[in-house]
Amino acid sequence: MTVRQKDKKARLREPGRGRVRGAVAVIGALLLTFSVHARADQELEDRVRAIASELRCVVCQNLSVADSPAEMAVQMRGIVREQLQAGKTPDEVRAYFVSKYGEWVLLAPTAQGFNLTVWILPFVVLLAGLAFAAWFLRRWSRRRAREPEDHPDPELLERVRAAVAAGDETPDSTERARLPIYQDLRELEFDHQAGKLSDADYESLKQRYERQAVELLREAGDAAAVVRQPDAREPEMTEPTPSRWSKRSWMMAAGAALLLAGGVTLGLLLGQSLRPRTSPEDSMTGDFLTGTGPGGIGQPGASNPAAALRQGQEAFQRKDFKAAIPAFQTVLRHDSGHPAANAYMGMILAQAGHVDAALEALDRALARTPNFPLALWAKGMVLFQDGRDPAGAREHLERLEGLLPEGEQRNAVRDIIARIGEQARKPAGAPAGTRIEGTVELEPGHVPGTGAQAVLYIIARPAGAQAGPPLAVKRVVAPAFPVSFSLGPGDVMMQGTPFEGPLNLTARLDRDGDPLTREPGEPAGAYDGNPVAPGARNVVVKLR
Amino acid sequence: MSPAARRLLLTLMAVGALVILLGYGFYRDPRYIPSPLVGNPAPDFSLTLFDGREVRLSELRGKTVMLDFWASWCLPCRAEARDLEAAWKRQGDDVVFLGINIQDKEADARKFIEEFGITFVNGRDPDGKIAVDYGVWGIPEAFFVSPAGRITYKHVGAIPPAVLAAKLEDARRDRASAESGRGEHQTIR
Repeated sequence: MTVRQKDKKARLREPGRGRVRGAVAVIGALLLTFSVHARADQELEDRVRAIASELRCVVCQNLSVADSPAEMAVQMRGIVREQLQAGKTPDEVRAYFVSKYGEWVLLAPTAQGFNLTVWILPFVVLLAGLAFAAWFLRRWSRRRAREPEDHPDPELLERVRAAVAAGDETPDSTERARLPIYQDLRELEFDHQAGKLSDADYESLKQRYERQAVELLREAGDAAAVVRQPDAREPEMTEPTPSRWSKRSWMMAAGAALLLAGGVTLGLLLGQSLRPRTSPEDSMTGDFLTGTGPGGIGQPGASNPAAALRQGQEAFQRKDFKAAIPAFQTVLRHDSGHPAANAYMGMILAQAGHVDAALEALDRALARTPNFPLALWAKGMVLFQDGRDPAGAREHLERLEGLLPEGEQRNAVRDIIARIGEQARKPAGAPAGTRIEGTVELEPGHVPGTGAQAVLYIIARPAGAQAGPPLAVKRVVAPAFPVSFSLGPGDVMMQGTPFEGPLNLTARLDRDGDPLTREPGEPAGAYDGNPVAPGARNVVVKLR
Repeated sequence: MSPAARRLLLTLMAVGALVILLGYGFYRDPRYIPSPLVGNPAPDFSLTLFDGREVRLSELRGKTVMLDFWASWCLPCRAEARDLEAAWKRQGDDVVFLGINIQDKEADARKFIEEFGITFVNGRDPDGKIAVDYGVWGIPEAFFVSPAGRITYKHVGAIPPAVLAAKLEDARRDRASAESGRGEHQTIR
């Protein structure tokens, strides 16, 4: 007998094993094929998002089509996607929406014609504002520069006091020019003596007038030749002493610049941190500025659907479904018909045993993209393993077969189609020797307590594994004891995993039907003859 | 001009400009979207009617068509439903009323048609493509299409019977209105 003949004989002895290996290979290959599809899909999503973020949502206030959760925005994103897939350029897609809604639909109006004012005016206003601020600061600093010194010259102060005391008989002509302020000082004196002014007010006003008068006298001395204005209290503006006032001006300018920069930064950051709520519990802000993290409250994943899809795919490939589910949900909130997210969700749901929900998700994926390979594969496998619609399974896998190029993957899909054909000819179900069959009994003394919610779980784990995910699980809702069961390849948790022994068989009754909670005193038990291999019959598991 | 008068004039000009800007802002409705479609050929579409038949707009060339976008949850649509049906019954063979149900559940839409005894043809636009093609944003929204296939008038909101009759007459003569009409409407979702 040649080696080849031996090989063939060995394969004939283990028909199930070979097919299972084939199925595993198909999953691997499809995930590879799919990652290429996913990349293309993601690129398309990125392009859709780029265009949608320039379009104004017609039913919202100041939200882009990319950011809006409104039904209309979802439909508009669908149209953008469709047009890009049809080969239109981003400019053509934008032009389409402008032809329907006018320039209004563009969040940033085109810089042409009258629209130019929108682009130019803010800068003009900004420049005008800066010019005004500069003028105002300059004027202010000049006025301050003319204010009297803190310590007036004692000699000049004496002259002022003497002039005030001398009344109207001021001899000097330059002194006469100061008459109004001397008059003010005299009136101040009078008011104080008449009790109209408090001591504190009198002192502060007197000091101020005297300083002004001293300053005027000093200026008169500095520029004796200059002809002066008659109004002494509003003298002509003089240039500030550069050394003293330029410092103050600089400080004022720096303060104004800081204020402006702070305002602009705050405005920009706040503008970027606002986003539409994705759920009633969600926050409308979401970044470091508001302390709610990159995705906001309750959003551990990215709020950007493309990034979320990437995260979900990575988590799925790690088999980290807890992380994958919220990521795909984020994508689906933005686009409920997203083919990749729906296909992945379908596979996760199928593995969790929610066949109907899985089929719904896969149908959504196929409704958008009828030839989506991963969704075709997943739906075919779900229908096949569930056993309720072998014809449907066959149809989906045949469609997938038609899409795949000749090669290993296509052969593997053909192999599964052939298995479906075999099973159809053998209505008894899976071939003998691949299932574990038996009954689960409830020991006397236990109250079944089986309401409509109670669920019996029959669990097979690889022998030696105490914890970790089970290999296969059968759920029996509202069980009537004793329960007959048959556990086989169709019950495995991970599609394509071989149902092979040796296995530890256990069962437990969950009274509230929630597999995540475990109440004390719930009946559970293991098969006394563990480990058990597929093919075993009349296996009895007693719940104690 | 004295410096004080000049200063006063400048202040008044600045304040006046701001007041005018503010007034303009209050006057216009920021949600109102002026349509660029009036006067242009009506985008063609194919609509599956509630009775299963298909209708294509281009097949109605030669007739005056009134397209009415509606939803069962839209209150102004309910308000105008009986008026529209009454107006439809008064029309001859050269006029077609075509209802396009958007953003709605099929069962709700059918109930609406039954409730108001609507006899003109109606169909669903489940993915909103026709609605976007016509730049719809508030419903009810009516488009009047002339026998030559040109949009002659657009009305956002419930349309008064007198306006409906006048605009049908304009459409029949292929006379486009300069402005779109507005009435009580509800923004789509």
